[in-house]
Amino acid sequence: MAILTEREARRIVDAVLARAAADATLVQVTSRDGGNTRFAGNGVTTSGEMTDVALTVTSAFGNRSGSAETNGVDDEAVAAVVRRAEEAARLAPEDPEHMAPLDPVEYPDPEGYFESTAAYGPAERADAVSAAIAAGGAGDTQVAGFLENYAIAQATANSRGLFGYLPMTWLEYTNTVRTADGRGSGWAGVRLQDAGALDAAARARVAAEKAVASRTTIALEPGEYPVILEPTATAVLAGALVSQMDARRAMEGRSYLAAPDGRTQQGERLVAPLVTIETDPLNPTVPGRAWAGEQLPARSTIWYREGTVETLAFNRYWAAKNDVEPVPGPTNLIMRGVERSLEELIRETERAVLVTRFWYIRMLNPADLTLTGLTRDGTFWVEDGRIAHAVNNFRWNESPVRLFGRVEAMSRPERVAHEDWMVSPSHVPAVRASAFRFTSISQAV
Amino acid sequence: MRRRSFLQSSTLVLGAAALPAPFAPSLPAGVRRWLEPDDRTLADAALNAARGAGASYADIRISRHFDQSIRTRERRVEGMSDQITYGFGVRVLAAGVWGFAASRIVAEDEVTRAARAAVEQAKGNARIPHAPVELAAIQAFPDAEWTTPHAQDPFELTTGEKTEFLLAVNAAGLDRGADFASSSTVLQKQERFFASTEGSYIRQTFLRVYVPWEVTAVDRQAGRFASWSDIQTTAGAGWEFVLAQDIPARVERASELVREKLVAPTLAAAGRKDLVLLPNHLWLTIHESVGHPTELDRALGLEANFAGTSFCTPDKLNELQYASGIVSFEAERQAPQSLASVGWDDDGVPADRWMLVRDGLFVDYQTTRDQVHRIADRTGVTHSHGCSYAQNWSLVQFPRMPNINLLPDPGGGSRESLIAGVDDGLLIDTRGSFSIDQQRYNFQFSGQGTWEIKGGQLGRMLRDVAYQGNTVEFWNSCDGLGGPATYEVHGSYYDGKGQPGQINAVSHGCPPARFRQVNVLPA
Repeated sequence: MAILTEREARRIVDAVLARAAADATLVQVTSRDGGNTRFAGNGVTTSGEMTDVALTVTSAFGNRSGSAETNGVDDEAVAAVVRRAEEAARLAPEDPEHMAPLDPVEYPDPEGYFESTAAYGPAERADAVSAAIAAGGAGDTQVAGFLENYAIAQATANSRGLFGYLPMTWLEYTNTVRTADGRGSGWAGVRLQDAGALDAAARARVAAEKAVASRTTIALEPGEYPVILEPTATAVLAGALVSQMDARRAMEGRSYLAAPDGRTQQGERLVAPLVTIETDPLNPTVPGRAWAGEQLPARSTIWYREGTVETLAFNRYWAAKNDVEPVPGPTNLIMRGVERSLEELIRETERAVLVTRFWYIRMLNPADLTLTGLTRDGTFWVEDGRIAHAVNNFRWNESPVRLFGRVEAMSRPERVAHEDWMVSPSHVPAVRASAFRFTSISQAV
Repeated sequence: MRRRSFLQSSTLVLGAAALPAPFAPSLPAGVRRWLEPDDRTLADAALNAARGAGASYADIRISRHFDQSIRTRERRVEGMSDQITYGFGVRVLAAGVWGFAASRIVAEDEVTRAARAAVEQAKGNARIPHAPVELAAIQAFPDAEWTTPHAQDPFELTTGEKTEFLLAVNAAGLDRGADFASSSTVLQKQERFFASTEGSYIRQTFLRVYVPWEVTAVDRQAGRFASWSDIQTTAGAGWEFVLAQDIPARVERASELVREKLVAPTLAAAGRKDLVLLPNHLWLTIHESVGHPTELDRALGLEANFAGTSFCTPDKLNELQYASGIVSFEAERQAPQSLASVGWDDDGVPADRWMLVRDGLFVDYQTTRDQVHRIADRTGVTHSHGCSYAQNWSLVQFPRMPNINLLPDPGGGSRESLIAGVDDGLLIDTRGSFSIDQQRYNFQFSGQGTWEIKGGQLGRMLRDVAYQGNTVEFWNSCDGLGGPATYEVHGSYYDGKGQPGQINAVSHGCPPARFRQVNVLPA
């Protein structure tokens, strides 16, 4: 199977619009084709291949709108989905915040499609997984992991002639290596556009080194310590920081970006001057989507510039109400770094807890963005410029605002595998911060 | 929330399987009925193709999924989605390894192609190191049928009726002083047809309803806000469940409480206190600290790369005092209105009921056909407990959590009797923040509402309070359970696990319970 070409996607869009009777009609088509292989205990467990299409139609009569989705694209399915959307629209209450469809716009054209990834099949996945098991499970260690690749084509259109089409490919590889005695665990992963760049064995070796190195820990009591967050951990907290950029919530007084009396923190310096976080759909390393919600073109946006909140996101209604241009939310995340490796960052560090990754992060207090979570799969003590030994895992209660407020050094950015809270794709550095609040010990390995 | 007689629930077995199945009488125009005359023919074509290509076992799931959500805030509809997805997935066992292929094109050529592709995939996987898959014996069900018991299919209501209900919910909050109120309906209907090379042909329809809501109060001058959210009003049922919850009254109460919460003090200092946890909070603690640790695939390391492993390893079977002697946890897929209740699982195993922890002792796991043999010598149980589930046709089935319930104390009393036994403690109401480590030792939970208990009496409200604990230490500190009349069932609509990620819906029943000297902290 293959994803829809632009011509095929346009034909489906045209079929929808030809049948539409509403005042306005919006169409989204997503076609996806891919496969995965999963492994654990140095052996394959499950695998799969899947091909699917999603056709979403949103119809509006005046200020009433309704939506319907199907995964059929033949004439009968198209007719049915249009009818369902229009029925829903007729039954919907008037929406005072309804916005008319956009006029045609020029979408950015990110380069994110690689035939090497689209053609990557079960045999290639089996080769990569075999190499990972050979590299990471060679001693008394066991590798578990997941390799998934897919091609996706998305089209967006409306009854005013707007049309956009974007094909992309993705490959996601992660692996966890555990020592047979259950005392050590390490992790590594990556998200790529080009399957040809995958070196699964190298990722397995990194995870295995961490697993073996973390087998013997020296207990560290809970408390505030300087930290070095590897890029994966940084990306999670950076994602949390920009997850609340919505201007409306801030102006309504219910986010960390709210200020007293209906004001916001826009223009205020909330984090350290080293911190600049932005979205750029045309970034060559981590290309983003071409369009965001409400069919708005994705655009380059600096959320935090040198520590200051520069931009808040406005949907079309809230933008019109406040007489500003709409600003779509983050569609990828790029955090600027400096030309320094993680190893160099460690060498320049007197003392810190080095964190590979986090786990199970949940909101504790949205007013100051305090989160809770745990460390996992490689937590070490750095002293006098080197990794001295492994330490126990921790639970932490901390706010990304405070963490990024204390950033004092960083490395060069890297692509990272997707985790909860991230804006994917992300390209972020490791960071060193002067303090991070660990509240209790986790026995987990 | 729903209350029910524990005795009533525990005596119900597979009776629901015999209920008539009122299949989707009002499918949208142009959508085929799910029970196609040729489903069995298609299934046979796929299974024969798999066998012909060398599979020793194969199954196919052909299913149609209806997912509808309506989101409202204050007095407007914020958005809606109404999805129908139809397709099939073929799973095969060849050369001792699983293979799986899925497609949206439900036609003979395509099911045959996918079956052969799955076999080829499995054979290709066989050159990766592996332990050959072993399947537990199973009974064939050649013409089986089950439907979630329900009175009113929510997909038969118009979107206008559901919207009107939600706007009334929001109005109840706004009229009682909330500055913001939001609510949604999230509805699922899954029509599933399963067939396997072992002779089963099983048709099932699952219905699930979910109505999350939230109210918020804001003090703009002070720059403070407080919210009260409910994301646990959900069941395997029809719209009658939603109407029976009296959600507007609960939103009114929350809107008053959230004003109190806005100005409530937090805990003065971290320390140890006794806790009384209400069922609308405790169910999630059970889910995280008992449900996930007793998943056999975790304990065997098969989830190591994502959800994690478990402290509760097979060597602890019949050895680990998981909880105090008054505590027993049952697992089941049979309770009426519980989210994980089914007729058969996605391996074709009939719904079961069994004990995980009996009188505090860890005695069994959640199992599937391809894993139960790994612990059979320790439990004496050689059949699967039927925990296989796939979110939809496009994803392979794998072990998922059944309903897991904390049994009430047959002689237990009311929530007030538990409070009366606390000199210095906290009462926690409704699920709040939740987090637990990847082996399920260290957890931290909080509620929507927390009240002090002093000298056996409820005191003032507190805000931003959490408790942290170690699973086994925590459950062994339990010294009081409510009686059968206090038993309630709550659920999670979106329990995530696996790679690629899949969601599962699951319910947990429990009475209120008391725990001694738990770590609490301002958070």
